Amino acid sequence: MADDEEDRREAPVELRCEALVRVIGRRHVLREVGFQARGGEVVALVGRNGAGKSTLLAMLAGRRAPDRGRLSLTAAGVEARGGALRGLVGFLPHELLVYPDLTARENLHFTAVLHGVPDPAARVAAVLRDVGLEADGDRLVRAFSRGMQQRAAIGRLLVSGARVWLLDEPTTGLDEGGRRWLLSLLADQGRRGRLVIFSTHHPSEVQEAATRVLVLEGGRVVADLPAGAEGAARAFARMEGGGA
Amino acid sequence: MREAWRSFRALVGKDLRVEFRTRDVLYTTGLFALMLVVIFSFAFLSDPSKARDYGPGIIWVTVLLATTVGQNRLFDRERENDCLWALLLSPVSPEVLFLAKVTAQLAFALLMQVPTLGLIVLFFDLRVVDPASFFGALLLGNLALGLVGTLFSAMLMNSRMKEVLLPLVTYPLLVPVLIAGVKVTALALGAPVAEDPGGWLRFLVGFDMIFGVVTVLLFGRMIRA
Repeated sequence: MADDEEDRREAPVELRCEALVRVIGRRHVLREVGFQARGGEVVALVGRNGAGKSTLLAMLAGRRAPDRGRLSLTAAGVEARGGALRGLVGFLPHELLVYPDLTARENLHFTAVLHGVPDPAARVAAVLRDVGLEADGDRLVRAFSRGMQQRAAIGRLLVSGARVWLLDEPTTGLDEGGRRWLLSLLADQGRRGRLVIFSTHHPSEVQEAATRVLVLEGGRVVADLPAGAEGAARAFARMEGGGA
Repeated sequence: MREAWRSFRALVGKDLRVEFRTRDVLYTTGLFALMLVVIFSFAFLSDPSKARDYGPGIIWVTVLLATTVGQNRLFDRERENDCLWALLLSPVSPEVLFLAKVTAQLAFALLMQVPTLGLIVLFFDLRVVDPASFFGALLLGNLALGLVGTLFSAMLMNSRMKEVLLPLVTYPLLVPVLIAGVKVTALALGAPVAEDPGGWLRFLVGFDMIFGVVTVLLFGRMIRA
């Protein structure tokens, strides 16, 4: 049973959204949003403020249920449910989901134990090195700068082993070096077979990390393009109303 | 099962570690309980001969009020930085999460109550003639308070009025526990009544078993919804 679970967590994942609708009050925040994405893709969500990016990411993370439509995540062709589904998805919203009164090491160790990571201490030490917090691992997260907290939160995703990464404007608070490091990490996670979906307002981030870009406008997906320099330019032109 | 146990230990350990580092709950509830004991002392010590009559009520009112103060803070740490969401995205079952929260809450409550009860016994010159019933009632009563309080603390986590609402919704449910607790404590302190504390203790065991199952199931359903 545990082996099945382990196999599933290493298996290719596929996310399928069908006609997702979310209504808050009388406002349609998401209107019939539909797309599919698989492990190995790094999808950038772009759109103006209020276009529905954060709502869509929260919905993909299971935080908000769609009012209509269907959302499914399959691993190795089997639809994930319950604990298996939860273990597959890692989410990094604006709030960083790390405990300020624990050290970075304690936060990551806690995550590792909850996710059943074998030899959590060794894994945490490796991840602290990867996220550049090796020297600060035993400091309280509360004492960190925003950028360092962001690194600790990304460390949480790495430790969890989640196959789907959902990140809401993840470069917020990072300096230029940190931003480049994170974008390269996201691209690398895609190459390792993870499905990464992140929202951004910066064309350069789409160009550097994404393999695909979805443009959201008024709660609808209005363009679905391959990334790269041309795709990023077209996506942002579409977003600014210049046409695709 | 082994994974559930490992997660349970990690969750309780996290709460205890954060609490011993910040001491938010222990200081708040401890000072509140101390203040209650001092007020009760001044209010009732004018007639020391009545101390044995007042003692059980004072003990349980102090336990209830101070525990409620702590329960209001129970999920605050999960709200900060939205950490609850990280827990819900992990493979940990909501049932394990709930039992870990109850256990941590029970640990904080008992830690606060040890010195508080010592002071009450000292100030009111009480003698515990049946320690097994006395501590048994405290343990079972605290567990009941923990189960009900933790469930509603989670339900009211995002309410702006949670400090007001938590006692409003939990106290009516806990009245039987308080009555049983006061009865057993009075007998354990040597009240001259021909009554067997065993019946009330069995009532507390039954309450804990029923509410143990009900609160675990409700918490699981609430989280999944």
